[in-house]
Amino acid sequence: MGLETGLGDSVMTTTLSRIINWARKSSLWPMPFGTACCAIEMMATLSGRYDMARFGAEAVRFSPRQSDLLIVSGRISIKMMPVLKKIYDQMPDPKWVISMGACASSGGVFNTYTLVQGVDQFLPVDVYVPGCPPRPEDLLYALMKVQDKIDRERPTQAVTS
Amino acid sequence: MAEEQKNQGTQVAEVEPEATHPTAEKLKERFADEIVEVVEFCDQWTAVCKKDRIIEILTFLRDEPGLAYDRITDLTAVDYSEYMGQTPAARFHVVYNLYSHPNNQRFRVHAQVDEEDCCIASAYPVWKGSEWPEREVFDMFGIRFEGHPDLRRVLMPVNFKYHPLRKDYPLHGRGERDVIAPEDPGFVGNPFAGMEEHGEDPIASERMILNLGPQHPATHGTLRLTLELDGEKIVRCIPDIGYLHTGFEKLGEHHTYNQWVTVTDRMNYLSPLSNNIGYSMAVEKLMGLEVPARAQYIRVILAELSRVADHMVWLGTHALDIGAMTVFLYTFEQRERLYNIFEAVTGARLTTSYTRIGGLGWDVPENFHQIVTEFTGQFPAAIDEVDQLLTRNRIWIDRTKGIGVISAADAIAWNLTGPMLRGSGVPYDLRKDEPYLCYEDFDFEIPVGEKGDVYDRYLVRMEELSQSIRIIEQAVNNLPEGKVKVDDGKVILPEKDQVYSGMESLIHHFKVTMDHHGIVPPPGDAYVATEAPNGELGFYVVSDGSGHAYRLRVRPPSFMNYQCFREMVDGHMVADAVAILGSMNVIAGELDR
Repeated sequence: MGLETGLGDSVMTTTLSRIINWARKSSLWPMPFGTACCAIEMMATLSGRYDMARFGAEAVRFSPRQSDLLIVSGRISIKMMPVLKKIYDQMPDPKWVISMGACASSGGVFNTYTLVQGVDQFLPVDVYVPGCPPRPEDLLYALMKVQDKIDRERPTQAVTS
Repeated sequence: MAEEQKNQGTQVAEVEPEATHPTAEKLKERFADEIVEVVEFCDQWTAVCKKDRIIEILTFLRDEPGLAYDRITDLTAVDYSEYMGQTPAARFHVVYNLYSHPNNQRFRVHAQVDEEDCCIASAYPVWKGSEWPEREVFDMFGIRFEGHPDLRRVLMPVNFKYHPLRKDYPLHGRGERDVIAPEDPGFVGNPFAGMEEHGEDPIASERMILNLGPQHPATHGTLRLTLELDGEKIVRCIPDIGYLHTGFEKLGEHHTYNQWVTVTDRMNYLSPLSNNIGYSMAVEKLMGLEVPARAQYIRVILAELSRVADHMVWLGTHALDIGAMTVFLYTFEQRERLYNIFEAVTGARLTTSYTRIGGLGWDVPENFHQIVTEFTGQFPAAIDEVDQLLTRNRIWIDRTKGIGVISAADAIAWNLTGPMLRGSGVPYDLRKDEPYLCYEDFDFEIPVGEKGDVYDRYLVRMEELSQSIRIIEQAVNNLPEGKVKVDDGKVILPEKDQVYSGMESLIHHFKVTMDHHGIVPPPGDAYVATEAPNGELGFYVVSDGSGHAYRLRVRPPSFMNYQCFREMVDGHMVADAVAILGSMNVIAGELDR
């Protein structure tokens, strides 16, 4: 671009959108809503061997008000769903949701009276992770998918309905 | 045909016993009019009785010197309304599974409860440990317990209208799961309102209500505690559970016996193999199957590896909750090594589904000995490292010594098992007291604590890790050759190449996979317990002679252990509640099922 040739190597120009997206996607703060087996794999993802810090998402926050990525990992019962909804509502915008595992995505193997058959009936889900439970690599891939999604957003554009 | 005859030979024939059980004799002598019948099935004895004098009967069983059933291992109910097409004398049976520590024996009592009045006297005055199981029966079957101190729903939301384990309630519910419930009324407001004042001088101090959970890092998933605080001191505590209720037991009535193995994985997800093994053993007991020695040894190795895996999460999260982050990273490194073994053996890291009724899914890989000994070789050094970080650490000792003390007598009355019980000094371990699989072949010790505080439970679990490694090493070095499944075409799927080439195998293949033709235990009930990492994991299976269980009850150690939490935190600081919770290692999947 013409402007950059005049500025030399030390200055880089970009758009505001891209820099906001870059900042957001590089430091996602997950809110781990871990209820069951998937939570154990999520813990494995966060610890030594898989190390989610490599993707900038190690700052786990158990307070929804400090986080922007909700990872629903595990079965959600009808008793739990209002709690989950409340936590989602408490998270400040912008926020993204990963539905980790078969149970959170569709009820999984538990087609029973007490289990919500997919949290997407009540929450907007960005990325679904299949598996029962998904391996840590799957969760990392889902995290990268969320980052891709953030990269395509246009935060500087006014939201029109 | 020859194969068919051979197969039948392996099944243990049902023999009518001549002798009766001494407990049954004493009961008949004392309560002749109350005892409807005495049943023996799978070497287990049950007295079916009327409900009117049930408390007298239970008190007699507890207090009579020769009987001394000092523990109510499990309390549940069965809805007999659709049992084998018969009209039952009473729709419900409340089932008391009793255990006597002095005599090391078990006995079961069924109390008949009619549908019309649907109530029975509460066993809480006899054994405190029946508090939550009775609430669960009330929740699931709608049977009211008179004299119960706090009869509320325990697993379902308080505004839930039905009783899900009744036979007329459908598995998929009546649409409750499709609409988001308005806030559970049990969740909002002050749960202490309307209760009697408690603690010293309620007027002088201002009380505060604190909600801990259900989403809180220290609640290990989905527990909720409502605490009434005086400053930082806990005056009262109400634990609220059921946030992970999944309907395992209802599913068990709809799955075939082998299908349900997959469900057990997801119950205590820290040690799925222990659940697989415990459940398979229960159905094998019903069917009178004896699995081959090699399968038993492999089961022991995997059960003990699971115990190590379970204790690794307990240790990591317990230390994390108290503020020692490093331990968590160390223990998860060990878990990753264990995952490698589980993956090599079962094909999955977590949801293993490795056992089948009558053996194992398949044999272990050829390098099994090598990968297991590699693990056991490096493990003691790793646990030493944690030991050096914690055991004599001043902060750790301050946070755990004298915290959450429970006496041996209380521990038995509250129906505690596993490290919780042994921490209080009771050397009760099913691996020694009622040896199953081939545990009597191995040399190991049962560590016990003295005071019953958080620190003692920590020491007990740490020592259990070393003992498990001892068992694993002995078992893996003496692993017998042979098959890993019973030699019975009616129970075990034949090998694929035989299905393609042999008529008989093809028929067996169809029969085993078809509903009502494969694994069909004779009608009756059996309770089988194993020593899971958290305590006694029991499966009470009622068979009606069809391809799936009529009633499948899990006796979850976490559920029973967690009952006494409110007493243990009484008078402690808020931060101690977290330490006590960590020492209990409550697993929500197993707690709520």
